[in-house]
Amino acid sequence: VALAPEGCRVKARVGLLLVGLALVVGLVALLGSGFGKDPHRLPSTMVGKVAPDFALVDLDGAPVQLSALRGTPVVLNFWATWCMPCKAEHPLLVAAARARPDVRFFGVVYGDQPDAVRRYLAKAGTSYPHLVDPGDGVAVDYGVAGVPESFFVDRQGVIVHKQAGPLDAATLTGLLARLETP
Amino acid sequence: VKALIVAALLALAAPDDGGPIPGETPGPAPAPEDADLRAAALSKLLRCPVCQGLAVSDSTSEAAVAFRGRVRELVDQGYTDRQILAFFVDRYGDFILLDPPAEGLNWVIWVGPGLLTGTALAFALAAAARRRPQGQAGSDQTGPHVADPYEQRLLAELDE
Repeated sequence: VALAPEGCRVKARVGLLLVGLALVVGLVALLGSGFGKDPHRLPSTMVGKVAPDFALVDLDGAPVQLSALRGTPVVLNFWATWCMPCKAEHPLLVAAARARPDVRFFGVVYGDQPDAVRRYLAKAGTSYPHLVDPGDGVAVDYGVAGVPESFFVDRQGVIVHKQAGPLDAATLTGLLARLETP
Repeated sequence: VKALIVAALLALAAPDDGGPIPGETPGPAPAPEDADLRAAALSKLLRCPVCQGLAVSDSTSEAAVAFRGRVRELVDQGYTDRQILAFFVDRYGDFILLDPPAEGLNWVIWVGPGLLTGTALAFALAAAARRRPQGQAGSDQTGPHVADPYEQRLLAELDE
């Protein structure tokens, strides 16, 4: 008779322990799933949306309006001369722009001086125009968090992919293939 | 008639909406001193995307400077705080808000700590309440139960 309440108490204590254990395991799993992920890799909220329009001027003073390019696939590469990965992917983009004249490539200068960009391009060479973005306003419109970031815009003016970080040759070729509409 | 033609031409030139925030119409422009305060307050709510847990207002990074510039621009154009925050969420996701919105799985963050503390406190109180009557069992019902003979003597002397 005296054992009954004692047994109940033990059962309750084991239940409590299990609930606590489940809570701890759940919390560790939740934190563990985020561990190792880059907190700066933002969700691509812009993919599938119409690319925000802009009217910018390139380093030579020629105006460029995105909406006027509707019907042509566009690649926008946000970059800066102080950004090493940007410089690493630069030759890749130069070659791709030469190989794919049906796609319009643009560099968008991010947080950099036009003169610094001109000096770099004089040495490194380029095959596409680079746009000056005063106050990085267009970068904010595109949700750019850091450079390099590249946006692939299809003929309808819709962003089909956002590449955060540098591109490699295989990725770039694959993404350019996606811009071709049947 | 001239004004109508100009308006029609303008409408044709901007077939989408023309405004900086698609689908949102700005209100009247605020007074400059109000705009200063509002822009500063909004910069405290937005996360600097390239920093570690810093608000846009607390960072000198390129991205934070660009954010502050755009916030000020949108405030000056007459957009509301809600519209401006939505503008950034639209482009960067909920991540860009320092306080995650209380919806969906985010409720865990808002309610979880309070719930856990409350539960722990309830268990601690229950355990304390359970321990007391156990210790008192078998002793006299009057006065507090003191087991230590030295303490008993001390209390007795204090009573005198």
